[in-house]
Amino acid sequence: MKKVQIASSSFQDNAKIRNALLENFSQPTTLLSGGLLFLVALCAIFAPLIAPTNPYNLAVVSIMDSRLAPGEEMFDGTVAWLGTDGAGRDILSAILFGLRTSLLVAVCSALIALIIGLLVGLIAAFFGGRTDTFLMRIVDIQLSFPAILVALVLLAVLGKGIDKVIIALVIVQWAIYARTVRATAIVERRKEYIEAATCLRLSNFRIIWKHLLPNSISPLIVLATLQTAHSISIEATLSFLGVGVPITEPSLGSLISNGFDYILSGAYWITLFPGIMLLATVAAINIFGDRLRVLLNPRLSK
Amino acid sequence: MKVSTLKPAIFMTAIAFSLGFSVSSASAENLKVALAAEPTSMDPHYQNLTINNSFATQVYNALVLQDVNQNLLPGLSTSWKPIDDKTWEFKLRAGVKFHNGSAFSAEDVVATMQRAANVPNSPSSFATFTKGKTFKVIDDLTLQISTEKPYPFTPNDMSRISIIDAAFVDATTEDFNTGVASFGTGPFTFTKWLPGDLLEIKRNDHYWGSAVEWDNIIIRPISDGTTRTAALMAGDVDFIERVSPSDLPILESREGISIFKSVSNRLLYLTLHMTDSPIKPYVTDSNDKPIASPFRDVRMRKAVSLAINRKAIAERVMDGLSAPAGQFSPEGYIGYSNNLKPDLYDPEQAKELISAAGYADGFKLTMHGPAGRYSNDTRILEAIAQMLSRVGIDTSVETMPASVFFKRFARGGPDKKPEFTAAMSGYANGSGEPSHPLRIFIHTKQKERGYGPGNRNGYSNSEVDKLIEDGRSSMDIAMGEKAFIEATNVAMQEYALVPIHHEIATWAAREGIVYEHGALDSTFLHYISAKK
Repeated sequence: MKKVQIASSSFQDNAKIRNALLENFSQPTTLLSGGLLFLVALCAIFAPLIAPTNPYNLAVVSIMDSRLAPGEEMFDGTVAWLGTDGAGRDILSAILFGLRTSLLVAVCSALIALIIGLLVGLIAAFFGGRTDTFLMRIVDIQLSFPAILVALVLLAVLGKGIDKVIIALVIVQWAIYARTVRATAIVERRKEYIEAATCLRLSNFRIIWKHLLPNSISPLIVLATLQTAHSISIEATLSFLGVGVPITEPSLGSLISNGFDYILSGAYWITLFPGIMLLATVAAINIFGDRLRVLLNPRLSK
Repeated sequence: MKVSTLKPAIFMTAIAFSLGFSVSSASAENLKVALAAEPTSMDPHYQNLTINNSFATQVYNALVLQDVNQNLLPGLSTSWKPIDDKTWEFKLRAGVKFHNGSAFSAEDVVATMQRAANVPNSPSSFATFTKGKTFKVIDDLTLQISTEKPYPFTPNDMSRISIIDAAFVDATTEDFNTGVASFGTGPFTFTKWLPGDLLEIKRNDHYWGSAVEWDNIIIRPISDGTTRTAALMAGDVDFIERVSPSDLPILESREGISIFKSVSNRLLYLTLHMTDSPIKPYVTDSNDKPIASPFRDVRMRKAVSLAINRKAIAERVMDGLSAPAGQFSPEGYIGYSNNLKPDLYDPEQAKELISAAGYADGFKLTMHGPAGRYSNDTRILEAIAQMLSRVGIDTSVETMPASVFFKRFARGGPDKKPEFTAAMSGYANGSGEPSHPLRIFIHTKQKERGYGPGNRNGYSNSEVDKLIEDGRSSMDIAMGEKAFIEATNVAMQEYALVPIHHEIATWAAREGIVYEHGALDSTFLHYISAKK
């Protein structure tokens, strides 16, 4: 790795993270949330292999199987362990596939938003002055609207589809990253090693890319984890409200919404099980993110 | 003043409810009703909208009334007849007074017609019912209405317009909303309206027809079906409309609740695009290459109809609240043809037809529909997509909010043409005019003549067109009806559209209340009565 020695503080940070991780991984909450997260990810990745049926294949799903209670047998002999929904989809399979959609949307949107936010934040912090003012006012405007409202309007215009949900989520989230990065980067910007790099007449690109970026990124790791959980919730809310993913390919949110109409008539399983899954996923990510925050915070570490 | 004397009565009712008393004794005359929507205005001529029109019949009368199956009944006019090919004569009811005390006469009708066609900012005007008609006062109680061409539906049109006092011909919509101008001749008088919260009407003690039982009716708009059910179960209201299908079993199993059901004239149907002109690629071959609509071939349209298991949709999706349909009208309703029965589920024959039409390799279809406009609409689309996928049409579904859907459905394509290849929509004959669905959906699109504005799929059959036009220009109503039924027979056998089902309308009330219902799914408060 070709790196100017003055930027070595990032190595220290990395070492700190590694030590802290090792030290704290023995903690039960970290283990539990991490384990759950790992399990959820496995379920999502291998959904087509482990799900009893393919809930997205309309030639297989039959309306005659609609609203079977948990444990009942479907027309083709498969047992619906968690029951079926109003369209005759096996809830267990639908949860696994829905989880896939939800996680895909959340991770993709968090990553893309992170990259955009990172760039904007770094540029604002490094160049300062008018650039900074201009970019940060855009961020302010963006953040002054509630995320769900912006996403709703965007999806009403864009239409349905997983790609469109991702676009909408990126648009509502990048500003949060941009602001966080800028706050960290503006502190780093004033430190001596950046000044030294500037004196060495290194190019702006190189200073931002090799020096400012590695030192501003650690708060983002925590933020990205928490925002992923937030994305899942927003996606679920949007699907619940009927914009978002197509009805023939439900995510966790649309499954919950589908079941909502049947709650009074006693078909609790359509809402309950996807609800539990959503809760577990979001909680696991949040707890894990929170642990990360504790670990990475220099003031809290001993 | 009125309001202050009312309040104790409401308060008493509230106490009676909270103490769990049966309300049948002292305060039986107050009725609380939860409706799915509220009128957009108290001005009976502001917007030609089902909910506005059904509410208007409570406070106002038209010259001609309609019963629950939209058969015409005498209203402010006691009798009507054609006196020549282009003129109808209406005899008006004597001794009728408006709620403000002024007497009703032919002048009021003329003034009303003038106002109804010219309400500023009306989202959908009543002018369509007055257009081309000349009103001539013969004497106080005789009116002649003439048209340029023979027109058999003048009485139907006259059943759509609420008669107001000529003194309020220049009143604004706002005057009606506040009650300054809301004086009709109907069974109830208007008390107050707090939009989004409540709407109150009071019995008209001087009503010319049979008097209603309730002193006051308090209407609350509750848009969510489950919330309406909960309100009835909690005793907050006495009567609700549009019970959610999924809530029906609970209400049925509960004591002290009566449920009313009837097959409504609301039809759900599929339109399948059938012209050569290319539209957006919602049909593709298995390599995702756009192809022309396969539904130009009548065999493909029939195959779609046969592939749909209407009974399964009725049982599984609608919880029994739909009746499989094979035409516009439900049995017993105007325009019903005895020759047309709903197609029975026959996937094998559907597959054969698809092969015969040359689509044995299958194709991909995107079907569109509104979300939340009709009962269970998205679920029905999902079920149909399953059924079509099973006969080899790889179907996906795209739904959108109703406002977006209808705009794109009508003119989302290139050159403002209809956009979708296959779409699900609904229709209910609001005016009760028997040729209405044929004129709107079946006749070849001829915008300037007012034919085919809802014909989105390009269906065109000159024989059918002629039957429709002949029936509409003959003063012989019986002959016209025959022509319309014949047109319906031909069009439905060619699958001009694919009927799915008629919704079954539902109402629920606490025990002791009865509701007289028919093919209309909207609620008419004067048909609610206490069990004798």
